[in-house]
Amino acid sequence: MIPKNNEEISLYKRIIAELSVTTELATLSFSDSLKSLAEEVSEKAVRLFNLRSFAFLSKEKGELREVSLWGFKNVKDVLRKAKENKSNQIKFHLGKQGKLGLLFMEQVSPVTVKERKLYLLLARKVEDALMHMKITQERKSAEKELRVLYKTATILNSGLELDQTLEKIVDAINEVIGFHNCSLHLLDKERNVLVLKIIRGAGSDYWKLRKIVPIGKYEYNICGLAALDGEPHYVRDLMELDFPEEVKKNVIEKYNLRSYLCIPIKFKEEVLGVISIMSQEYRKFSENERGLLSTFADQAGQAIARTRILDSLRDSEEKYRTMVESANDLIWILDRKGNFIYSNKRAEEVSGYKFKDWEGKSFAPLIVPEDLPDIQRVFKKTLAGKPQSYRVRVYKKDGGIFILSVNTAPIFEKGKAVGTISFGRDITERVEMERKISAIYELNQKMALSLDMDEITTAALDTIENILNFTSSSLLLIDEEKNELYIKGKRGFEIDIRLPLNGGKGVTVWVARTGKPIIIPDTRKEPRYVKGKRMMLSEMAVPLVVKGKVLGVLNVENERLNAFGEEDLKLLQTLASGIATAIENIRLLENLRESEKLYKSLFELNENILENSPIGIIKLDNELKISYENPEMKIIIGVHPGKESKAMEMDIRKIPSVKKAGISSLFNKLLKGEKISKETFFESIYGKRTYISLRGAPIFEGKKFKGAIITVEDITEKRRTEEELKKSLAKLRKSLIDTADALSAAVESRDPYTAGHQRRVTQLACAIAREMGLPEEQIEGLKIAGLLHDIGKISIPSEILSKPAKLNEIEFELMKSHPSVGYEILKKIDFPWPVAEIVLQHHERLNGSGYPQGLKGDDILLEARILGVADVVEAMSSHRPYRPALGIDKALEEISKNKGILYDPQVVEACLKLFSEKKFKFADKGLNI
Amino acid sequence: MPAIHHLAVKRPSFLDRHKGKGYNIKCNEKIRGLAMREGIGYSQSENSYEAGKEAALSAVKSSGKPGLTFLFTTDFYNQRKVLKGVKEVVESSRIIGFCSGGIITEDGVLQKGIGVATLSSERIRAMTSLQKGLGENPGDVGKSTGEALLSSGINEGTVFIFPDGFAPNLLEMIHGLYNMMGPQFSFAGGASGDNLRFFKTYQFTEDNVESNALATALLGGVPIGTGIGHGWKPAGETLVITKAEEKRVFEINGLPAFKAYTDFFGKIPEEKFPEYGMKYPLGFPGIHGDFFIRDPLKVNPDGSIDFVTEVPTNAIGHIMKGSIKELIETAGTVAKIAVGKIAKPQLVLVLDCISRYLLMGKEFKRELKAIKKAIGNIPMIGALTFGEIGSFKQVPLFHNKTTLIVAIGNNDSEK
Repeated sequence: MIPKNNEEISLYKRIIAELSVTTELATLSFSDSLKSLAEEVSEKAVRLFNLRSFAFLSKEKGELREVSLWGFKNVKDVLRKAKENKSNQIKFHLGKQGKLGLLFMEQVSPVTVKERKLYLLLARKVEDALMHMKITQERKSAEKELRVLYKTATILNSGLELDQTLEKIVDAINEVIGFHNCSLHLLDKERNVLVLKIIRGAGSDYWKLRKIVPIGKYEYNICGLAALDGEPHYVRDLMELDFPEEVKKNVIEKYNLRSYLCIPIKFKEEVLGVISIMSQEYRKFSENERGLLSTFADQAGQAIARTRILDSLRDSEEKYRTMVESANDLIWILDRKGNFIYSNKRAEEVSGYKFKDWEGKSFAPLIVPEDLPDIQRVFKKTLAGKPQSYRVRVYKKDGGIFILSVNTAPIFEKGKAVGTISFGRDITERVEMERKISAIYELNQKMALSLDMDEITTAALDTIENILNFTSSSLLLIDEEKNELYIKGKRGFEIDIRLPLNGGKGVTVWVARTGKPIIIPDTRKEPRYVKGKRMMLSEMAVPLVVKGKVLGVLNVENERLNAFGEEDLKLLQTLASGIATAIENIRLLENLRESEKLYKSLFELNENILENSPIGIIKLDNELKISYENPEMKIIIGVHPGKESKAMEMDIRKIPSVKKAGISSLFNKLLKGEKISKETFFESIYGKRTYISLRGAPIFEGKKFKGAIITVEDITEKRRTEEELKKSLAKLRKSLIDTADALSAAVESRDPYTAGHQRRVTQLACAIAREMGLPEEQIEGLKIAGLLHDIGKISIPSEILSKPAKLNEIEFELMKSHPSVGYEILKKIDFPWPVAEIVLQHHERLNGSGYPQGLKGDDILLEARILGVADVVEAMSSHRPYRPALGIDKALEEISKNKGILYDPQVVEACLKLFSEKKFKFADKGLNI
Repeated sequence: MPAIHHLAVKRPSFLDRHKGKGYNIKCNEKIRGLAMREGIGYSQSENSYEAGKEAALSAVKSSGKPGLTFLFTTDFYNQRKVLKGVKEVVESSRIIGFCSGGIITEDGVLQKGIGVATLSSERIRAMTSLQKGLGENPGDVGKSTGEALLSSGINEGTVFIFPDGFAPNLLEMIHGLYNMMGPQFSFAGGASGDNLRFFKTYQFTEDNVESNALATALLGGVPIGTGIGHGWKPAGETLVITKAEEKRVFEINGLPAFKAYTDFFGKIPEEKFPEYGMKYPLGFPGIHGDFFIRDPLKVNPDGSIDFVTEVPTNAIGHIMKGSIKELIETAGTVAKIAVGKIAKPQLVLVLDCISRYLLMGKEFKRELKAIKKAIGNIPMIGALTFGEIGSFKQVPLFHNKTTLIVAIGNNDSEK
């Protein structure tokens, strides 16, 4: 279209202009830099729209910041203007809810619709550009973080020492975040302080002289706080903290330090240290920066932890290396092919080879060929994952062989067995010892089976030859009759000698006399040694001892010096022990045979005596069958002495009369080796009852029951006599008691107040005695004593006896004499019980406060103690001429109160029990005892 | 005037700087009467001092003791001596001016000469500022200039801006100055230059003569109307500046700049470029249909093109064309607009691009005539500039190949 006039020209121009403006807005570039974007947006906005004023603000952490201004001095002016909302103004909030920023435009004339659309296009383009920038920045930030991580990972993996690693980390922090001062402290938990490790930047010189930072001591110690709670800490203005003036002056003010951020260095939640950075301006440290710093701190933590682990590993490795190298066992490692990878020092010492002789080579040539197939099988099984144990014979470098007891296990790497590790113990000596012991054992077996001295001697000398290295050996025995040592068996020499034990020379003589073993390393220096034809330079001799008795000597000699050691001695002693036992067994057997003969002859001799014995004798065989009855026994049974009873060869337990007597099971004790004894009635075959006393003793031969001898005595008459005796005794006793009772009554007739006292005391005393479980025999004695306990009062004037008032001292002393008087009277009578003593002691008290003797405790006869309690109880509960009856309760209270002090506690308890439980009552008439 | 200090050090305020120097910061000394009187004067004396003095005397004869003196020189003269001569006449008047490619008179252009315009009124309030280091820190210089001018206390008026035309990033300078001063002020000016040698140029205030500086004057108390225009029209399709850096354009439409430019015309030899460049600048439209012109200067060996003023990257533009007739007509129209904005214009300043003068050659007189015709009997004076600072819509931007007319009126008038 060609414009025809100015108006059209203007229109044409405007159209072109709008098109150009729209196109230009659409081509707004997506700059990475906010500054470039701002310049472009500002230039276009102002130029394209002829803006009077323009503002492009970005939003950061909720705050609007100037990006580009046109016609404004500052953001405040913009915000003030933006509130006017005039028709020539337009504003756009960029991003969701204005999160990205603000565009403000003011033109000269009111904004038209068309212009608004174009402004909107501009705003959207700016928004897109900001989003693009944000995404790009985030991506760059992420890339930066990745670079940081890569950098720190590189540092960590660079194999640097810890100090160098930490230095690198601090360098990286400066590169990425930047600081004016950075410090890295490590935590010393023991001292609870932070120790400065690295310091950079402003104030370094000051802090280098103050490396130790105590934790938790000062509030301004933000670094310490971070170490304490394991959390980051930030201070916007260091001047707000209460640092000492010196620090403020020399560091903070001097270097104009302001913001401070401390991040703890941690590894698995354990605080290891702190990284701190200071800035010379008020610096918030964005989230990103804090995150990056934390990443660095984590890396530092890992480095520190790794160093510690490595150090610990190194220590462990050193420790284990030392252990392996200094182990007493042989340790070696083979690869999958059975080639040596490692062997320790011990392996070298034992084998004689150096490791380098076998490094990379197979173990096979080292193994004794006979053992190799087994070892190869074991190796395969181990590689298959199963640990093995085995013995193997191995060649030494010098051609010798040593025997190993080996434990081997597979070595795994990534689940696959890559070789084996073996621990071997040199058991060569042990095996040798086993062989020797085995030989001794075999000898012992032989000797156990043999009872022939010569056989044993030969076997013993053969075994010695097998287990010891010697030139000559001999087995000597003691001839007790002649008190000499004689050679029972020998090897390596021909001479046959006898050595006297008394004062005789010779090592073997000394051993036989002392019972002590001996090793002589050099016979030339031994005065006791007796030279033979051949020069033996070392000798070893041990006694043959059984139960402390020396039976003989085992002797070995060698042409070499120092041929015998302690081990050899132990072996010979072991041998000697067995030989001695064997010899002793043979002798015992011989003795036994002799004693058997003697026994037999003794047994034959005895039979004559048995026939004429007045006591019945039965011999039982090993089955308890009657093998012999003497004539007296036959009489007891009821059989004619010249005839054989039917009981012969019968099991005594089954004989009817034995059964009837109820003593069958008694004979079983004989089988157990026990003697038997029994008094019982026995019925003869004719029914005659006799009272017998039966005794029996078993006969053993060793442990074997051979039989028994039974004696049977007819004690019928004896028993009858005893019964009669008992009866007459009973009669006698009754009359005694009656007599005592009469005496008692005579005494009491002089004192009407105490009539019946002795009787009642006796009642109570006997009841107490029965309660205490005393035997009747003893109670009989107590009864007599009880009835007569106050018989001594017969000497006291009746006026005193029945005085209604308290007795004076003289009268009391007189009264106190009655136990002694009673004793004097009764001691002349030969009672079968200590009646006089009981009477004498019936006023004695437990604590010695009684009379007449002041006896204490167990010195007082039990019967006297019982009588004493009964006396007190009866007296207190009865009337007296000088006082009314106190009552039984008071009496019991008295004895209870003084239980264990004056009165025997058991007696008191029994007395209390009688009254409380058994409702004891004194009987007025009759003894009733 | 104090040098531009390093940014890290706080600069003393204008007041501090001028304490004890005998200047009345708030306003210049009282002029006779409230009604503005103007005066213009020229000299082509070869003695710099005498030329300045002569031109000033001529102007002061009409205006009386001025409050503000505009001084335009050419590079023939010793600028300091010229200033000295002028100062002797105008005494305590604020002086603002620059070295130009030629002095514009009603009759033509003086390639060698001094032009002085004086304004006198009791209501005139003027403040000048001369800031060095324009090329190094244009934004800061603009900002500092704004601070200095605002320290006068004058809170409305017109800012006359005369930067060193050879300094880069003059747009940044305008940005800094505009941000500091704000849209309540009007802005008009032109970049200083020389006689096309592009060697050195000068800017001055009553304080001093400098190079690589920004000379500004804030004039308040008198009505001012401005008009700006060029007469160039888009010649064809849009083009996109796909890569540019400051004054150098590397790519147009993704192609090397020279190639893309010459493709428009078919192939043209490089040596012919200046001729084409003069006739066919680039124009960048605004929403209101006004085009900013960018004047291509030379081709570089890498195919990039240097322009007189910075060309924005990603800008959509056109190759512009314009007949001399159209250019002249536009100049007249612009002048008409300028004087039409105020009731009684007393003086017209013409700041016309030297490139139009070079293009039109002898025909440039016709442009001046067109302007004269538009303004009538109002005295006019001006200078050939190396870029113009003016507003299509009250927003100061940097222009090339454009005519800027500033009409200064009597303060008794109302509009």
